[in-house]
Amino acid sequence: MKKFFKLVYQILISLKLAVVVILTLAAVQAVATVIESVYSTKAAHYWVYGTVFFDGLLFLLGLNIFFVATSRYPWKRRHGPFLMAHVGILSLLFGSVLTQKTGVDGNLIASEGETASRIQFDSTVLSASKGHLVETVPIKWQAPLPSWMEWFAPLRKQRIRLKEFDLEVTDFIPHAEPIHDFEKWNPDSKTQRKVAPAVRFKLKGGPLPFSKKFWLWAGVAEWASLDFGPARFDMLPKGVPARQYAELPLTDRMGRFFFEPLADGGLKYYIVSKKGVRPGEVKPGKVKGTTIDLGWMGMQLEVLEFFPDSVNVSQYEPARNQKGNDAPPSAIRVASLSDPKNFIWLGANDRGEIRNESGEKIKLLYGFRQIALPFGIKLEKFQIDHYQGTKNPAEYSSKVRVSTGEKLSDETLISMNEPLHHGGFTFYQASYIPGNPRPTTSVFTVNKDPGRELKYFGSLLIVFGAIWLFASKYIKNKKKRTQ
Amino acid sequence: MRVLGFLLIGLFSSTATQALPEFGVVEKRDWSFEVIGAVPVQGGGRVKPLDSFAREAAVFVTGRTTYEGWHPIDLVLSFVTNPDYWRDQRIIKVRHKDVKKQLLLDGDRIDYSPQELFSNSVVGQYASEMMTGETQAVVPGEMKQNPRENDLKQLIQKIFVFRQIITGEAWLVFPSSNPSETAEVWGSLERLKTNEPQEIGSPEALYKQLITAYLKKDEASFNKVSLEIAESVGARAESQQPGVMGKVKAEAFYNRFKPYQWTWILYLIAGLLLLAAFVWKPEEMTKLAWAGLTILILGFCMNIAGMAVRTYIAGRPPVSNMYESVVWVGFGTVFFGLIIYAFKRNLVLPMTVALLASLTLLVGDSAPAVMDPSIQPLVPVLRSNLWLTVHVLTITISYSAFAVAFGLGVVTVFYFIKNNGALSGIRKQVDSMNDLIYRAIQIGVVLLAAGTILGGVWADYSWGRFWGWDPKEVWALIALLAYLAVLHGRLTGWVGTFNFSVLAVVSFLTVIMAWYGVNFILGAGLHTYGFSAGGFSTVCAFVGAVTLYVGYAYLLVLRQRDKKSN
Repeated sequence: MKKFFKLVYQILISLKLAVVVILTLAAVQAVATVIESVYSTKAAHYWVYGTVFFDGLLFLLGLNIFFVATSRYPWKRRHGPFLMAHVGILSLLFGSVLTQKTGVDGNLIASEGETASRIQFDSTVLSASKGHLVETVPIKWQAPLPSWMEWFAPLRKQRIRLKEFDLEVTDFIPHAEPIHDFEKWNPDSKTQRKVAPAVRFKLKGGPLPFSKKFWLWAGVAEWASLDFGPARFDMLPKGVPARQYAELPLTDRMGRFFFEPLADGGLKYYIVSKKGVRPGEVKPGKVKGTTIDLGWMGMQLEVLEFFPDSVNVSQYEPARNQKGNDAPPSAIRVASLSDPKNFIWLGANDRGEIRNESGEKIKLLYGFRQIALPFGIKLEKFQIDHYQGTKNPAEYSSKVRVSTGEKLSDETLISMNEPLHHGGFTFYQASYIPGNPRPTTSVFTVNKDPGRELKYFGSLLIVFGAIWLFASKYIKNKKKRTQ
Repeated sequence: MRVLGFLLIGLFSSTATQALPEFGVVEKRDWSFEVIGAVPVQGGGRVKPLDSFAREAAVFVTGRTTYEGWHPIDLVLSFVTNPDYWRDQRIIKVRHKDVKKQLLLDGDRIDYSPQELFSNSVVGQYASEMMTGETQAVVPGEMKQNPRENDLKQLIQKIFVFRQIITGEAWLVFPSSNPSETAEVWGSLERLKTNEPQEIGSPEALYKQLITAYLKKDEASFNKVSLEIAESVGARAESQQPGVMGKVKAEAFYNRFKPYQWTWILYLIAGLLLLAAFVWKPEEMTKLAWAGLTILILGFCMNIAGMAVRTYIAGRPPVSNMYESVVWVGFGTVFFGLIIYAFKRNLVLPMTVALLASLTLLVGDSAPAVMDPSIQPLVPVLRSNLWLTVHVLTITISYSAFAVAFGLGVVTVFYFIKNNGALSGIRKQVDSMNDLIYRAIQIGVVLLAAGTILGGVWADYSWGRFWGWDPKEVWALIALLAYLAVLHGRLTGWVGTFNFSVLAVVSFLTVIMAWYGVNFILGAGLHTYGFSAGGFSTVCAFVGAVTLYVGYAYLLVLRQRDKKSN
């Protein structure tokens, strides 16, 4: 046993270990950059940078440096530069660990006039709520598997349960695409779902051929309207008279269209254009296949499907595009533990509802992890300057105030390279969300880094230690030669 | 709410363009275009000489500065005066196989005429898609794109640019006399299409005369009108933006004089002279060696002058793209070569760095489509920041130090090859070479470590993260680790005399990867590099040559060892 420890110690204080670790680190990182290039940044973190193995390599490097440094004890003057550079590396590594374990690095999104105080992270969570009962579980992102590694899939399956709600995450798709579908509600079915009218239509004629088919569903706001900019289509829930909306001013649109499902299964509609409101009605049973003249540049609308009562049966499937940073976000399937047929698919930022055995609604949200700041950032104005005569942004900046309780601080400017420091957090101008006629939503990177000082200190030691180390060798060589 | 901007489809599909008057046979004019080349125009967010505008347009559309021998200004003037002719010429290259497939293009050739592409309905569809998502927010570290999409986007931009040149829209040649925030600061050549009478002597009238003179092939009056335009437009531009004309003139001069071309020629001459001197009498400072050194220093001054003029024109240090970094590395190679030479008088140093720097600048100068030599404004994150400048300059100059080590390594390996792989007899020479290599690597390691750390500081300062495992930073780290492994390996005794020289050569490949590979291979996606026109084959040839060279030397050394053990 003693022999074994001695051997381990001998290895730890050897320079050869350092060479081996350095080369392994270099090779592993090279592989990571290839993974990143072929798949995505997230995949590189999943397979390499975020793994225990990689942390272990860095730890081994730190350990090796530590033992090599202490094994030279008692230190002489000639060890000075060597110690300086290598203590610098230890300090840098330790600072990085602190940043990783205790730091905060997320985004804050604020629109003009709004006070934002929630930091959003890259990682996703599933939260379920029923009344005051809330449960949130993290959903770890897993990179898609290349086909030759499919055998690995069952081994890494996450078992995520929401204990309070008798629910389970049964599937995870790293890059998912929705297959939108709505079907006629079957009143006898036991599975409890939201029921609302749905219509599927396509547009014909006009200046351009449109082959796409569209669904509208009055169940949730995201699905109830379709906005093309110049034209907008809305589906109203049963029993809501559309007339009151149709008579609102058009503003700068070419036209609007409202579907109003009637209680008898018929469909009423309103076509709004610059000329005024034109209502129409289709009798029950004849809705499917009806073609309506819109009167906007000769366009027509054909109703392909109409269900006065329908449920959302949208699902997610692995997206065709599984590679690149622009591959679509993930999706999960949540099912009841007692009734596996009762399930729902949720894509990134999707809200949904599922009912438990006793028919109570459980609200679900699959979104990004967030934390609340103890203060808020109020965006007064977002500014963007372009290079003369181009649409290329030259500079963007945000005028903000910090709000604490009721108080608002003085206006400060956050611009590229000029962050705001407040309450231990730093706010950087990261980007913005494009808008018309000008963007009014600013995206900040919010960061809290307890390892910063250590990293900076380590950096200084490394650079000056290395210079000293090489310079002292040069002087030593010179002395040797002159002797 | 789902938002689709469908009205934009169709904008692109109308190919009918009203053009300027045209007549005559399309042929080259063998004129100098010097005067008109110095006239200020606006483009890409800055005011520049027409010469630069024409060069950038020619390179962007055709991939070459001189398309089939056309002077770039001649070419763009011909575009705008004879659009129907040029629409049918196969001047646009589409290389990417997947892009061709996507656009249903005839797969056997790589050159297409603008008309073919205009009338391609698939191109129209993608173009409208592109326009709907026009201003995308840029999040630091997430700027990478799919290579096929990139190529497709670039193709569509080429078509746009060509269209804008033939319609006159791209020619922002008329500075408005009283620019306000709402009015356009520069008007385009399209103004000539209206039949309104133009004030005599106004830039509009002058440009009309210019085009007439061009069409009539009247060189004398073309030059006369050019001079008048230079005066009247120059005065207006200057009053709009005081000081701009100095830069425009400097840029026109820079384009014409081509300081970097002179630099590599001088380096090449110096390198050859020094090589001759070295082969002849390696230990002695012959007249030949002095001549070589003098020319090397002349070239070095030219290199600095070129960078200084470019810095003045762009208003920022030369660190924004591959081309500028190539020039900077060439400079650094000679710089370190001369510094080490000041301490260790070994002729092999100036010889190696002169040849190496000459090669570097030659490569930079000969591929304008891969390494864009045009001066572009910076994206917001990179603007006016001291740390950015310092960190990029530090990292790239560390590449120079490694390049010196590489060059010396190549020479040392050559000693071994010449000596049939044996160390006996050349020990002294090889040791002194390895000593130089050691110095160069040390300089490089300190600078690369400092530069990488400064990069962390910069990223932390402006984005809030010190280290983000971005491929560019990772490869800089890999290069650093590789050289550290060599240095530590020498301490452990794992790396002997021959291996040290070999590793000085081989480790440089990590620098190539960090410098070129991350942007051109990884950035473009590994799976498609075969098709993308990014100088990949050149780099592959380089890597292959290095491998063969080192491998051959290795074989010789192994054989020597076998002999000894027998």
